[in-house]
Amino acid sequence: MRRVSIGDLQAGMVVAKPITNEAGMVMLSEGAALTDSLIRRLGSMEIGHVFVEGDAPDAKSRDERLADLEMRFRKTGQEKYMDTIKKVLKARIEEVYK
Amino acid sequence: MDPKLLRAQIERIDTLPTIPSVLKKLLAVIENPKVSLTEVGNFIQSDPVLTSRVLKMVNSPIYGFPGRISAVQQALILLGLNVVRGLLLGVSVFEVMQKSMVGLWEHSLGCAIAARIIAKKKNISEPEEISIAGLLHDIGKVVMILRYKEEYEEVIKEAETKDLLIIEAEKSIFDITHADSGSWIAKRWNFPQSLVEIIEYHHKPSLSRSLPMQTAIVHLADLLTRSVGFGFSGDNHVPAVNPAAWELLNLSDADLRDIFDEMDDAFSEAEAFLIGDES
Ligand SMILES: [Fe+2]
Ligand SMILES: [Fe+2]
Repeated sequence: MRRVSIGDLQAGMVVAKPITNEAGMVMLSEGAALTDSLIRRLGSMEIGHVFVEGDAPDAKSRDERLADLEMRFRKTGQEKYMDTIKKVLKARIEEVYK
Repeated sequence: MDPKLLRAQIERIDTLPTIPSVLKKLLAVIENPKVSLTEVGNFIQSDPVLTSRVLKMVNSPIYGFPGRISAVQQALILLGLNVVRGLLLGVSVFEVMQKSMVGLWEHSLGCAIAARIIAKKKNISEPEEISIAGLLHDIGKVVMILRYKEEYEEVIKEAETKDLLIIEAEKSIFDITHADSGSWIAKRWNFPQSLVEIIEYHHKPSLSRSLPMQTAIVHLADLLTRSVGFGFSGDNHVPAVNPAAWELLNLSDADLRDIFDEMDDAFSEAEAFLIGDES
């Protein structure tokens, strides 16, 4: 699964996580294949990104991304509030690869 | 080095022979606080490269204006004179930035975008001014690289060998930091006091008296941009957040997640915009 910005969606991509509108209503469910007209309609809604199946061609692996994160926080990850920032980032990486 | 001498030399930077001539011409326009919108507009339009860069920036995720802005005059009216002056400076130093420190331009753009996103989250009025402060926050690095190329290369080496932050190495070699030099030059070029203050305190946001919130936003934007690994600020690790600034911003985990989501979207748009620069 990967996260794709609305502007980068292409027909044929498969939705990996339900897409909901602002009211929380499911607009497209998991497994739906995107078409040009669906993408256009998504574009007119207040949606920034969509989770789709598969890895990006040059995507880093989960472990690589976690290692990069550790590297960046190696000196300050324990400091006050930095643990919060790091925790949120780590959860985002793990969510994508779940 | 003597800070007074450094300041005097930095303030005369526009007389350096190594400064590109476009930048010199531009400085003459933007350092005049009484310049009119029409004059700035005419100046931009006299140069097609500048025109295309300004329009690209205005239509980039740095601002997030809905719809497409296709005329320079329209951009000027939307953004206001001070923001346009800052934007012009940003696009004109971009080449110098790209040559002097690979990734610094991306870091600056990233920080501008993140600053706008955080400002919006905090319902701050005039987020465009905060974006510009984000774009220019590290201008002091460019200025120091331009004026003291060899010494600054030493800074970079020192930071690498001793595993220091750039700002620490600057202190040890120059006794001043890019926050000092950046605020001096912004003041010298007659930028608004608010911009001068944010640049001066972006690494010590709790010292900002008149704009603690705005300064905290740029401080955090700088840090969040580094923490996702976008661009390169000269440091290979993320410095610690200023606790008072973090407390002032008072962001929940959910807020932070939203901010990272929006940054992701804007950065992927920005990447497309970075690659096709002159097209
Ligand atoms: Fe900085
Ligand atoms: Fe920075």
